[in-house]
Amino acid sequence: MGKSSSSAVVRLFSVAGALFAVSTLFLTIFCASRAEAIPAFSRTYKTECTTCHTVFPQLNEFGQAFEKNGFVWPNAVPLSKKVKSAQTEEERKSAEYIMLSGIPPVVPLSVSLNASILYNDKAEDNVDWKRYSAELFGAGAFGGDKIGFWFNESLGSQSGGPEAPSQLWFVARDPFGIPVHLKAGKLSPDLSLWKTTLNGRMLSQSMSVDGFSMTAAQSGIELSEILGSRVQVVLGMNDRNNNTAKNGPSTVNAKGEVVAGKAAEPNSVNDFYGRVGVKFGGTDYHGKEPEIDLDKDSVWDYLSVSASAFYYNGSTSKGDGVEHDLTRFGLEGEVAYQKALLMFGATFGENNAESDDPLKSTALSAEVDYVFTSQYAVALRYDTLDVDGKDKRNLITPGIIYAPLQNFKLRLSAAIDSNPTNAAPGKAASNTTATLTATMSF
Amino acid sequence: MARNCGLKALLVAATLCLAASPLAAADIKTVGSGDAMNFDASGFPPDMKPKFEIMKVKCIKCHTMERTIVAIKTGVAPISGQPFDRGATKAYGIKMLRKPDSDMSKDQVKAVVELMNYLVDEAAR
Repeated sequence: MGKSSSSAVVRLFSVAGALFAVSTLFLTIFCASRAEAIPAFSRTYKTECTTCHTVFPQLNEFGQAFEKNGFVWPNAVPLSKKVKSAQTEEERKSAEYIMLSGIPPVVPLSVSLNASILYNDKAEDNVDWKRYSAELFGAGAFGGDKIGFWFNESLGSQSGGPEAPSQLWFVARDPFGIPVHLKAGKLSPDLSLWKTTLNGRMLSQSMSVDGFSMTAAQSGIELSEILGSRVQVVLGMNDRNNNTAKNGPSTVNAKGEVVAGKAAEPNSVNDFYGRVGVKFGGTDYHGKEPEIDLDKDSVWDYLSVSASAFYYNGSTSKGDGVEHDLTRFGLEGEVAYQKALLMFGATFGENNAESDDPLKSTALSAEVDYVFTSQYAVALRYDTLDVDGKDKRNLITPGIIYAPLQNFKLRLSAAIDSNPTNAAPGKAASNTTATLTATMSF
Repeated sequence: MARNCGLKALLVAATLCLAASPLAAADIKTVGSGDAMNFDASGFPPDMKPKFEIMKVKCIKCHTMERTIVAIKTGVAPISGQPFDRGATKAYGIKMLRKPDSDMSKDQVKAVVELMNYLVDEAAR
């Protein structure tokens, strides 16, 4: 057993390594050497992708501040002032029509294309070449930067692989002069420090139990505000009646089949949630760089520590027509030092079933990322999920990323999963998969 | 009469001297255009030349030098529209120090900030 497992792993890495080498060679030969990124924000602000990303889509500190600011450049000069201070007639006209019409200066649309090859040691056909997906997204700000917006929608997926939850929301920045950001629409609740990591969302973020996943996009309202410059408070309410599809992330089972994420059942009551995040050191939530003495060294020159806690109270149904109350409580932490990033998260859940015994669940995740340059990065993650002491899952996910262009990357990752379907309590299967994914955004 | 002519000549000479030296220094000289634009360091003071050697290698790793030149010449950061003054040069230096890709030491950042401060002052004259 041990021997066959180890030979499978050796084969797996041999195949994946060969694919990676061939793809890298292809790119080195045929792709331009100049890095040019052109997705929506890059076009709007005429700046490179690495302004906000380590390796897309993972946000760096400034990118996080930009997102928290409703997709408006932190501390940017307002358009009205730009009109007055324009140095040429052309600049003035350009700024003026945008200010008066309220429209974004460029059409803020982007497309992301994915093609991947999956190796599964337990599948009858070990290698699946037919995994393609495309996603349309748009985001930005308009109306003199008073309104921000975001939407994303899958344009199709041949692989049946994980899909990001479709979203469409607007955020009003300081509406009626009230110092708060008001977000409304179909949105993924802001319960985490991270939108994603180099290895995708952690299990502590996407934990799905009884068809309920916190990251599922819901129709709702969310208030957020930055207190001072290093504390963020989020309060939200959503109506899961509109939430009938695309919830829990898809998985690959022991036969190599893609199992779609369970759709949460609609309910008739609203869910409530809240989160508090705090950051010490590093760029603050307004995008301001820390004060650093250039003549003296300090550990805080490169160090930042963030922490966050959330609470979610709602209900779900398992299709029996009965609503079951549920709660989720989570803690997250992040330590960043120079090129290294350590993230950890813990989510504790309780689903009150019809019986007296609540269904308790715990997801723990830890990931370490190292960004050598904006072209090369590695990540290693460990996730563990325990549902009621019976249904257990351990997942180890190493990944290597090579991004020869700022808007094109290759990601080679493996997933050593003790219970990939997470569907049969007490009957854990296991498999090991490797995926080579090429992603391009423009 | 002769005394008035002498005074006039002195005033004209003084005006020409004033016009020649400070305004010439206020003009930040550049070479090339577009992506290839760079500072013309031939007129830099000797202590600024080594700092320019660092700047011309490090600052173009992620963006063109044109972006820096526009910020210094106009006094406005091109992307944010914020003032690009002595306070901003240090903030940008710190941003680059902490950027994983910049590969800049503190001493190098300090040198580049000092050069940018010199250029900002020259541009403002």
